[in-house]
Amino acid sequence: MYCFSISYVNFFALVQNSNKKSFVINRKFVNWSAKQLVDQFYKGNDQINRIGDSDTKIACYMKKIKRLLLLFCLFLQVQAFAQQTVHGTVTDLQTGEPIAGASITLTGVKTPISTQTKDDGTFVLKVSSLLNARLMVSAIGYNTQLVEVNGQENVSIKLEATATVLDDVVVIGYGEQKKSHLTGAVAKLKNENLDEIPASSIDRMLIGKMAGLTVQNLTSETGVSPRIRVRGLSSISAGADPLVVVDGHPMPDGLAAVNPFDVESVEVLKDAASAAIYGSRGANGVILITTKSGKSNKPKYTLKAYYGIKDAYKLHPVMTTREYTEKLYAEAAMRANDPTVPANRVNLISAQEKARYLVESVLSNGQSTNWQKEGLQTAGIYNIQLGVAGGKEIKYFVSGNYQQDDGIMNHNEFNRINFRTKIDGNLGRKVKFGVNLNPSYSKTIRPTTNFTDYYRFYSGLPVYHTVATAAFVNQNEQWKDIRPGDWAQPRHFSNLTYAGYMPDGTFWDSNLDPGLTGGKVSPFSSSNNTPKSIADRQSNITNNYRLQSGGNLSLDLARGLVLKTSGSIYFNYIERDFFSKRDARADGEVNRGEHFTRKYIDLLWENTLNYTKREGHHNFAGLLGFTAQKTNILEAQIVGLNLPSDDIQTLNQASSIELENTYTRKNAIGLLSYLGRITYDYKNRYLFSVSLRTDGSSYFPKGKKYGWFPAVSAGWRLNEEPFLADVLWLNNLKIRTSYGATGNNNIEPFAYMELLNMANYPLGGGTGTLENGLAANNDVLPNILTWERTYQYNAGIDVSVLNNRLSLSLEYYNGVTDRLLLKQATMSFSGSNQFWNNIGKVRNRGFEIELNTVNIRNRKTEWSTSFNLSTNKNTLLDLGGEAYQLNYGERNEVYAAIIGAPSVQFYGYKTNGVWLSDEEIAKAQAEGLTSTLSKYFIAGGLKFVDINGDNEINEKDRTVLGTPFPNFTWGMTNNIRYAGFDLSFVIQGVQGVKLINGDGYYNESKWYNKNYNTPNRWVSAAYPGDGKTPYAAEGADWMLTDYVIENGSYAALRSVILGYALPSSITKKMKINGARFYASGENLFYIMAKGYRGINPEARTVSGNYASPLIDGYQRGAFPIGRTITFGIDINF
Amino acid sequence: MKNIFHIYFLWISICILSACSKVIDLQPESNVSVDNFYRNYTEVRTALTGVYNGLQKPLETEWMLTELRSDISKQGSPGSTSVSNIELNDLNTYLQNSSHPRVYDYWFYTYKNIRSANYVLRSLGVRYQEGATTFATEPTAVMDEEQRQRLAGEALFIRAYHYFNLTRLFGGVFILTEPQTPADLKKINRSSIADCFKFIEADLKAAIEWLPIQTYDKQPEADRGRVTLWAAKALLAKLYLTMDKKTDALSLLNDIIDRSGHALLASFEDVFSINNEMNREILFAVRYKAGGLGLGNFMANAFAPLNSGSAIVNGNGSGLNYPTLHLESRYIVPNTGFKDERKSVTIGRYNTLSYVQKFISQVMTRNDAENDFPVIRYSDVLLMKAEALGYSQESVDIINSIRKRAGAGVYPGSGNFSAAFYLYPDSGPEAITDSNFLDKLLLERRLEFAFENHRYFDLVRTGHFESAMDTYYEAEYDQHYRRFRPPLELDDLKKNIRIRPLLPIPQREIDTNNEIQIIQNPGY
Repeated sequence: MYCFSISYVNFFALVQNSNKKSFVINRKFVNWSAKQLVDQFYKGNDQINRIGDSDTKIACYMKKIKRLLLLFCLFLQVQAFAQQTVHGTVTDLQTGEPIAGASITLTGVKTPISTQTKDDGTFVLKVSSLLNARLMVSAIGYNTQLVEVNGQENVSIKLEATATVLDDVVVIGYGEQKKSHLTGAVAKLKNENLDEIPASSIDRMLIGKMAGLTVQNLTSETGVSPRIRVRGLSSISAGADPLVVVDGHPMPDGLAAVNPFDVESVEVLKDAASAAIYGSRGANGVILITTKSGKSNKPKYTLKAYYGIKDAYKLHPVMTTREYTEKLYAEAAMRANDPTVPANRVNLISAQEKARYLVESVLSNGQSTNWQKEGLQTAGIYNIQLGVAGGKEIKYFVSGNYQQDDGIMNHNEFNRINFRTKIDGNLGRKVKFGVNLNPSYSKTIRPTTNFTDYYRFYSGLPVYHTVATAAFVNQNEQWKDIRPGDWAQPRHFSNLTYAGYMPDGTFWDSNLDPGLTGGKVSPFSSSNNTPKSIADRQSNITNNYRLQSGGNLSLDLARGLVLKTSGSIYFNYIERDFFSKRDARADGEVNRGEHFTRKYIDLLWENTLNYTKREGHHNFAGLLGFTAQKTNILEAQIVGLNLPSDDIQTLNQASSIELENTYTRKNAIGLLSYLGRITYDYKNRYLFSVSLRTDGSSYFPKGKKYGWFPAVSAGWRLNEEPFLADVLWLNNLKIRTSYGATGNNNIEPFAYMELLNMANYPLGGGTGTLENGLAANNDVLPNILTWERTYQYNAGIDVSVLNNRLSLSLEYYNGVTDRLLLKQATMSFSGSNQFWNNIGKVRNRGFEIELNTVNIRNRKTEWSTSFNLSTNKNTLLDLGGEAYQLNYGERNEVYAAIIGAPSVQFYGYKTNGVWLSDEEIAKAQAEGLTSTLSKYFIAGGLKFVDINGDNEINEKDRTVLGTPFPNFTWGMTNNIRYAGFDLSFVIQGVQGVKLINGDGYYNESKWYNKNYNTPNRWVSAAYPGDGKTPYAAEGADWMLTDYVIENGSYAALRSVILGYALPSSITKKMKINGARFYASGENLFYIMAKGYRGINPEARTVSGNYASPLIDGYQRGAFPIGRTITFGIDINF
Repeated sequence: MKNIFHIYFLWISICILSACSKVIDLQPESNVSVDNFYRNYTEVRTALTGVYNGLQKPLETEWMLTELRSDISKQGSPGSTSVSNIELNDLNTYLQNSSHPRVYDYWFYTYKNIRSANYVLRSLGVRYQEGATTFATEPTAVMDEEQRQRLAGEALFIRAYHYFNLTRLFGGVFILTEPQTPADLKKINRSSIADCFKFIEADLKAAIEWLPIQTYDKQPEADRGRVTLWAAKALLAKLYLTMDKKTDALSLLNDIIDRSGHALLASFEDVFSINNEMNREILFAVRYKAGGLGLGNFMANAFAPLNSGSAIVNGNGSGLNYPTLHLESRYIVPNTGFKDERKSVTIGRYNTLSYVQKFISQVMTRNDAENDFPVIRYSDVLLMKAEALGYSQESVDIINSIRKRAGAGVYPGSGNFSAAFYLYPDSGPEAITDSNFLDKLLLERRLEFAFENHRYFDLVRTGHFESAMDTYYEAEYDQHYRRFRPPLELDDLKKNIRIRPLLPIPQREIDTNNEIQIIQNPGY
C-alpha cells in the first residue's frame, strides 16, 4: 500500500496515526514539501520496512531510487533558502503535553519548506526572514493553525484538538467505510456515556440521539422494548421494526438483549442505498451494533456500578368517592335552582352512589383508598459490570454484567446477567480469526393487571377489611367468615341495606328507597376482584436464556483479496410461567398454572469475498457474498388446573390439564441471499457505490420467493478540490446522493396459504364424545404474495467549518413503498374481514438536520452540543384502487387510511360544544336537523358538526380528526466538561402529534378524573358550565369524537449525567488508572401539551388483535412515566 | 492451504447451486392447508365437525340480539355506565348504532361458520342455482353417494339455520354459497328477504331429501347431536310459518309428530339436565362440553348473578340476560296449589337478584359449563303445529299438553284462574277463544322457551312485536327504564322499536364496499 502511494507524494502524505490502527489521509499535508514527506517516511515507520518483505520488492526498489532523487533535489532547495532560524515548541492546548510529529511549514514563499517536531514537541526551521514569516502548523487530530512569527526566534504554539474526527470509520453492511467516503445516509453514535443512563436496554438510550430514528416508550413497564422507527412508517401490514444486526448477526429480538456497556458504536443505515445490502429486511432501516473488541495492550479493567431509585412522574388527578358525591350534591343543588329542570330530574344520584358514599364516609371513617398508589411500588435499579480488554497477537474483550431494574408498577421487575467474550487475532500472516460467545439470562416479572384497573377503582373500597367493614359485611350469610385484614372485594358489600347522612345533610335509608327491591343495594357494581388482590395472587415470570455465538475466518487469498466465512448461531429459550392462585380473579376460581416455552434457533452462514485495489487515482473495492439463514421455532404450552396447594406451582400437581391451551407448535423460516457491492472513488473526491442483493424467502410461494434489491449512490467531496484547498475555515464539504431498493417480508409465515385449525365438537350420547374437527379459522384470507419493496432517494450534504467546531449534516429523502404487504379489508360476509394483498403504495419523505458544535474548548472547559431534528411526511398513495380503508381499534374507534393523506388518521365526529338545553335541541330540530345516531339529541351531550351540510347528523359526517404522526421530532445533547467535572444532558421532544385519549373515551375512568369532570361540566340549561364539557355519559359518548383527541406533543429532559473524575494525582496514589463518580437521572422533567389530559404522552396501547401499524395513537391505561435518579461509580485499573 | 480453499469454494458452489434451496422451500409443520384437505369422506367429515364447532361462537351474542330485544331480558343495573353495559342497554332500548360491536360480532361469526360450511359443500359438489340446491358438480372428495348425501344434508341444515337467523334479524342479507375473490365479493349486494327465504328453503329441501330417515330411537348413539331429518323438517316448518305458508308447515310438523319418535319428556327440568343430553325432546341442540377443551358453555358464568362470588357458580357471575320482572310475573307460582314448574327451572334468585337458571351447571373454570343449548325442541314442534292450525280444539289441546307437562292442574271451573296454575278450560271466561288464541299461544311459548332465543322471532312473526313491547316497556318503565342515564322517556322506547325494528347492517360492511351502494336498514 505504501509503495504506490509514494508515487504521488506531491499530493498526499500517508502517515500513521499513532492512536489508530488504520492509515488516514489528511489533506492538510498537501502543502508539505517533499523533504518533509521523505522525513516522515524514514521516521522509523515500520510499515516501510515491512513492505520491503512483500512480494513486490522490485517495485519498491524503483521507488527507493525515486526517493533518493527527490532527496537530492530537496537538499538543494533547503540549502538555497536557509538563512535564519526559528525555534519553537508545539503543545496540546488543553493538556499542555508536547505534540510529536507535528509539521511546521513556512508559507507565503515560492517554495515552502517544512519540518517536524521531535518527541518533546520542539522544532527548528530555517527561514529567509523572521519578520514576515508565517508558519502553518498541523498535526493529526489537531486543527491546523497559522502562526505569524513577527520576528520572534522562539515561538510556542498551542494546537487545539480537532472537534470531530472526520475520518472516523463507520460500519456499513458487510464492511466498514471511512465516514468521509460515505455516500449514503448513515448515522453513527459512539458509546461515550450511554451506559450511564439508568435504563436497562440500549434502545431507550437512543432516544433523541439521532435524526431519523424515533424511539418511543409505548409503556413505562420495565422489560418491554420501546417502538423504534427509522424514517417513518413504510409498511402498513407487514412489520415495521428495523432490522437489528449485532456484530453481523441479525437479532430477532431487536436490541433487548444487548448490554449497553458492551456497545462500541451504534450505526443506523437510514437510506435505502445503505440498507439495500441487507436487501429483503432493510426496508424499515437497519441498526448495526458493534460491540467492543480488545486492543493491543496490557489488560485494562473497567468496573462500573450504579444504584438508583424510581418513582412516578405524574398520576391522574382522581376524586375520592366523597369528593365526587359532594360534587353530585352540589350539582343537584344547582339543578334545584334551575326552573327548567323537572322535579324528578333534580336529584340524579343513584342509590348505588349514595351507598358507596356511606361506605367511605361512615364505614371507613372517611379513609379513602388511593388505588393508583396501591398499584405502584418504590422501585430500585442497580447495575454492576466488570470488563477487561487487552491482548497482543490475540486480542480479547470480556465483560460481565448484572442488572436489576424494578418497574414502578407492582410486580414488575427485570433482571439480567450478561457475558460477552470476543477474541480476535491473526493466525500467521494470511489468516485472521474471530470468535465471540455471548450468553445472557434475563428474568422478567410482569404485572398481571393494567393501570386502568387501578385508577378507575372506587376509592371508597378499602384494600383490606377493617374491623368495621368486616363486621358490616358479616351481616350477609355468604360473607360471615370475613375477618379484618382479609381482602375487601366489591361483592362483599352487595345486597345490604345502607342508611346515613348525605353531603347535603339529608338522611337516606335504602329501605325507604322505592326503586330498590327489598331495600338492598350493591354499591360497587364491579364483578371483578380489586386489582391489587388480583396482582398479588398472580405471577407472570419469564425466564429468557440467550446465546449468540459465532466464529469467523478470513483468508488473504491474494493482494487485496480477502475471503471471509462466518458461522453464527443464535439460540433463545424462553420459559414463561404464569400462576394464578385460588380465587385470584373471582370467588370459586381454581388455581391455574401455565407453562410456556419457546425454543428459537437461528443459524446463519455468511461468505464474503472482498477485493480492494488502488491504481493511480482510482480506488476500488468490491464485495461478493452469499448467505443462508434458517430459523427453527418450537413453541409448547401446558396449562394445568386445580392444584392442591397454591404454594406448589409446578403442573405435576395439577388435577386436570386444560387441553384447549395445551399444545406444541413448530415453525421454520428460511432466507437465502446473494449480494454484491462495488465502491469506487477517483482522487478521493468523486465517490461511487453500486450494490445488488437478491433474497429468497420461505414466506412466499414458489416462483415468488426471490426479490431483487439494487442501489446506487454517489458523493463529491468538494473540499478536496484544488479550488477549495486554501479555504482553511472549511474543513469538510461533501454532497451525496443515493437511490436504492429494499424489501420487507415481515409477515407471518405461510400467509399465502389458508390453514386449518383445530375445531372439535362433542357428538354422541351422554355428554358427547370429542370428535376431531378442523376449520379455516383465520380472519385473514391468504393470497399469492411476494416482496414488498421500498425505493428511496436520498440527498445529503455534510459541512464542517471553523476547525470542525461546527459541523452540519442535512438530509432529504423520498421513499416510496410499493406492492405493500397489505391486510386489506374485505367484506365480512365472506367469513373473514381482511385478506393479504401485494398492493398499494405509501410514501415517506422528510428532512433531517444534525448539527454539532463545540461551543467552548480550552484547557479547562469544553462544551459541545449536538442537535438533531427530523421530519417525516407519510402519505398513502394507493390502496389497490380503493379510496380509503377504515380500521377499527379496541373500543371500535376508527382509523382511516385515505389516499393522499397519512396512513393513519383518526376518523370520527367534530364537535361543537354540548347541547346547552332542550330548547336548543328543539330549535335545531325545528330548523330541520335530524340524526340517525340513536343518542344524539340529549342536552348536556356533545353536539356534532354537520360536515356534509345535509342537515342530518349521521355516519357520513365523520371526518379526519388528526394523525398520530408527528410534524417533527428533535433531540439535543449537551456535553460540558470543566476541570474534573462533566455534565451531559439530553432534551428530546416530539411536536405535532395527536392521540386518542382512550381514558377519556372510556367513561368508567372518566368519572372520577378531575381532568374530565372539571367544575365546568354541563349540569343543566341554567348551568351549562363552559358549554364544552359534556355531562358524564350523556349523549353519543363513546363514538370517536374530537373531544378525546388530544395533543401528544412534549419536550422532555430525558437524561442528565453529572460526573466527577478524580484527578490523576489521587488516582496514581490509589494505583488505579482513573475513577469517576456520577449521578444521573432519567425523565426528570416534561413539558406536555396544553389540552393533554393523560399522564404519559408517549404511551400507546398496542395489544393483541389491534397491534397493526394502521392502528396507532390510541392510549388507554398508560402506566405513569418512571422518573429515575441514580448514583454510580466508574473505575479503571 | 490452497487445497482448503478449493474444497471450501467447492462447498459454497454446491450449496449455491442446489442444497441450500431447501432452506427456503418450507411447508407448514403444524397445520394442514385447505388445499391439501377435503380429499375423502373422513376428511370432509372432520371439516363438517369443524362446522358444528362454529355453531357455538354466534351464541355468545345471539341472546343480546333476541332475548334482550324482547320482553324476556334486560341489562341488570340501569344506572351503569360501563361500556359493556351501555352496549347492552343500547340493544335493550333499540338505540344501537350501525357500529355496535356486538352486532358486528354476531354477523361476523355467523358468516365465518357459513364459510366453513361452504368449503364442505364445495368439496361435495353442492351448488345453489336458480332457487334450487343440488349436486351440480362431481365431488372433489372421494366417497360413496350415501356418505355424500349425509354430509351435504348436515352442512346444508347448518347453513340454512345461520341464514334464517340472519334474515330474521337483519332483513335481506348477502347470500354467499361458495368462496369468492375479494373483488367479486364487492359485486354482491343484499338480497331481498324473499330471495333469502327462497334460498334457505332450497337448502332445507335438499337437506330433507338427503338426510337419512331414522327415528329418534334408531339413530345410532354415536350420532346424537348430528343434524337429523326431523330437525331439518322442523326448521323448514318454522321458515314456512315465518313466510305465512301454514299448510306447508303443517304437513312437515305432522310428519315429525307421526314418524320421528320424538316426544315430550315427563319433567320439564329433565329436558335441560346435563345428565340427559340429547334427550327425546331435543331435535337439535348446539352442544357444549366441559373439561378445559375449549368447548364449554359460557352461559353459566355469563348468566349467573352479578357479584355472587361462588354462591351460584365458581368464578363469579356476570348477571347478563337478566330476567325482566314482567316475564317473572307471568309464571304462576302460588304458595299452595298447582304451580308452573318452569319458573324454578328457568329463573333462579340470589338475594334480590334474578338470573337465568336454565343453562347453569357447576364449572371448574369460568365459561366452561356442560349444558347444551337447545335450538329445536319437540314442544316447539307441537306449539308450531298449534300456530299452523290456528284456533281449534287440537291447538288448545296442544297448549294444554305443554302446560300439563309444566305442572298445570285441571281448572275446577270456579275461583281465580291465576291463583294457581291450571289447564285452559274448554269453556267459560278462562277458555281460549278465537280472539285470544294467539295471545295465549305466544304466552305459552314465552314461558316455555324463555332464554332460548325465540321470543323476538315469535313476536315479529306473529305481528305482536309492537304491542307486546309497548306492554312490556309500560310495565317496567318506572322500575327500570326511568333510572337510565341519560334519561329515557317511555315514549322514546316505544318510538325506538318502530324506528329500528331490524338490526343494522354493520357499518364496516357498508364502509368497505366502495363499488356498490349497500342500502342500510331504516332508522340507521
